[in-house]
Amino acid sequence: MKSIRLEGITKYYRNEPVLKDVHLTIESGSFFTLLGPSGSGKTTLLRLIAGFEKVDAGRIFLDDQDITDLPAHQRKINTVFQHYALFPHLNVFENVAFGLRIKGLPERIIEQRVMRILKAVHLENHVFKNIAQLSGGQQQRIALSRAIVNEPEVLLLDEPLAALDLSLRERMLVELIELQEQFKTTFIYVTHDQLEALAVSHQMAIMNHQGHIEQIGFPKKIYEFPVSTFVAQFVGSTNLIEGTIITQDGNTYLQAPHLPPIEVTYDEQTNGMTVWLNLRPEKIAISKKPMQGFSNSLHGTVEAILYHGCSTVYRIVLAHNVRLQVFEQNEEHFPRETIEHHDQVYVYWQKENASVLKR
Amino acid sequence: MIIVKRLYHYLKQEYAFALAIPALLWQIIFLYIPLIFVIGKALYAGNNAISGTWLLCVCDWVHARIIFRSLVMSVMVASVCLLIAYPVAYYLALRIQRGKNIFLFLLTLPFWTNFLVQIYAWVFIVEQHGIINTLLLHLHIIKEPIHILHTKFIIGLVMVYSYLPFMIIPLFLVLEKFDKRLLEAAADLGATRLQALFRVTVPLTLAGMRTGFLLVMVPVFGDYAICTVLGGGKYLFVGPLIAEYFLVAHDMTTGAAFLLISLLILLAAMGIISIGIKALERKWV
Repeated sequence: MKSIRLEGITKYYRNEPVLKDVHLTIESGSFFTLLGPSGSGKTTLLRLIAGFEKVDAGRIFLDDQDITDLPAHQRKINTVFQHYALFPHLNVFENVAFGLRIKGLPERIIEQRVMRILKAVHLENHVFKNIAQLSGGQQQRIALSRAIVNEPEVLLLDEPLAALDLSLRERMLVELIELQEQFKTTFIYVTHDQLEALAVSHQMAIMNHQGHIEQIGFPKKIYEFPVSTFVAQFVGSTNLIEGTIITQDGNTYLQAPHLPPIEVTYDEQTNGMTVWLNLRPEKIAISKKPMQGFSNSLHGTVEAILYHGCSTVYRIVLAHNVRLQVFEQNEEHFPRETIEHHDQVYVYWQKENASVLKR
Repeated sequence: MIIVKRLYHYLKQEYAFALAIPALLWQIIFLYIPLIFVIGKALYAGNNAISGTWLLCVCDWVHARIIFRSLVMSVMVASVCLLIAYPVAYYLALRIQRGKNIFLFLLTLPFWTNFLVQIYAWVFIVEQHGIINTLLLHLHIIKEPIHILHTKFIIGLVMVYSYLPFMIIPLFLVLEKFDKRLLEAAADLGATRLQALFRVTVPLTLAGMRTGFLLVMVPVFGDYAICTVLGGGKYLFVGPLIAEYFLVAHDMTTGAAFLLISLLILLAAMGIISIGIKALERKWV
C-alpha cells in the first residue's frame, strides 16, 4: 500500500476544463472517497490516477515516485470499473487470474492466490462458471477480486455498487470495508451517493460542478461542519437561511428578512456580511406547545408531511414563505401529540447545533 | 377443406415462416432441385447402371490435384484477406469516431463497377505492355517486361482484391460490437497493447473471422472469371474445369461427378476450419 499525491492536476475536455488545479493527498492504507455530483470530474480524476487519460498539467505521485508519464499497464494500481468490464470469453477463474497470467507467475501460485481471493468473496463454488451465468452482485465481486488479487498499491473503485439494488448494495458495502481491512490496500472510491460515502470512508473529498475540491475531511466533520452551502446541500439534506450577522449585548444573531433574530455561535467578525445558517432537519425539535430550554424557537404552519415509517419529515412554512424541513424519529407507537396538516407548530433548536456558512 | 383451414391457421401463427415461403421456394427450384439433378447425373449412367465416373475423379491424380490447388488457393486468399482486413476493420470500428459510414461506403465502392470490368482492368495493368511494365521500363528499374499476367500470383492478388470486402465487413461488425472498455481493463491488469490484442480482442472476434473466412473461401474455390481471364488457362482450377466439362466437352456425367466431389471436399475443408476456430473459442471460454 502506498499513498497518492496529486499536485496541480488540470484536465481539459474539448477545451472545457474538467479539473482545475487539484491538489490532494491520499494517505496510504486509507479508505478515501471522492464524492461529487455527476460531471464534477471525479471519474476523470480516477482515470488520471489509473493512467487511462493524460493530465494537461500537474503531477501524480505514488509515494515518492512520479507516475504521471507511466502508462496504465505499468502502474501498480488496479481498478474496479462501474460496468465491471469482465472478460466475457473467460470463466470466473480466468478472469481473476488475468493479471497474474500477464505477470507470468507459476500456475501453482496463480491457483493459490485466485482461490484465496474467491474464498474471501464467497465465490469458491462458482470458479468455472461463465460470467454471463452470474448475478450482478456476483459479477461485482469478481470485478473486485480480479483487481485486488494483483495486490495493488492502490485500488480504484469507480461507483462499483451503482448497478446493484439497495439491499445488495448495503451488504457489499460491509464486504468492501472488510476487504479493505483485510488487505490494507489504499482504496480510492468514487461515488455520487453521499450515504455510501459517509458509511465507508476514512477520509472524503467533496467535488463541485467546476471540478474543484470543496472540502476534505472525515465523514463526521463533512456532515456536521460543512465549509460551504454546496457541501451542506450535497451531503445530507439541510435548511439554509440567508441573512446578515449582527451583534447585540455580546450575543451574535443572524438577521434574516421577515424572521426574528436567530441566535448563532459565530466567532468571526463579519458584521453586516451575507451568510447562511446551516440547520440540519434532525437537529430541530417540533411541537404544538411552546417549550423551554432552547436558544431558538420559531413559529410556523405545517405545509406537508412525508411519512417514511421510521421517521417523518415535516415541511414547515415560517413567516413569508421561508420553509424549514424538520426530521422526527418515530420512536413510539402512540406519540403524545400528533401533528397534522395545517397545524400551528413551534420549532426549536440549540444554537450549537447549527452552523454559519460564508459561501 | 380441413387441411387448408389448418394450414391457414398455422401460417397465421407462424407468420415468420409464411414470409419465408417465397425465398424458400426460390431456393428449392433453383438450388436444391438442380443439385438433385447433378447428383443423379453423377451417379446414374443410364441403362440402369451406376456410374463409376465419380470414382475416377477421386482416384485420378489430375483431378485431385486441381481440387487441391483450388483449396490451397482459397485458404491462402482467405488468410491474406484476414491479415489485411483485421487492421482495417479494427481501425474502422474502434478508432474512427465520426464518418464511419463514409468509410464503409468507400469500401463498397468497387461493387459499383461490374465485376468482369474490374478483372479486365487488371489485365491492362499487368500485361506485357501494361501500365506496370511500361512504368518500370521508363524508370529503368527493369530491362525487359516482367511476366505478371498468367501467373498464380496475379490470380491470387486479384482474388484478394475482389473478396477483401467480404472479410472486412464481418470483422467490422464484430469489432463494432466489441466493448472497448475491456481494453482498458486489460491495460489496468498489466497487459501491453499487444497482449490485450491477443488475449482479449482476437478471442472475442473469432466469430467474425470464421464468417469472413467462409465468405471468402467459398467463392474463391469455385471462381471462374478471375482464373480464366488472368490465368489464361495456364493453370486449371475447379471452376474453369467444371465449365469445360459442361460447356465445351458436353460431358455431363464427368462434370457432375467432379462438381459433386469438389463440393464435398470444400464442405469438409470448411467444416474442419470452422471446427478448428470453434475449438479455439472454446479453449478461451
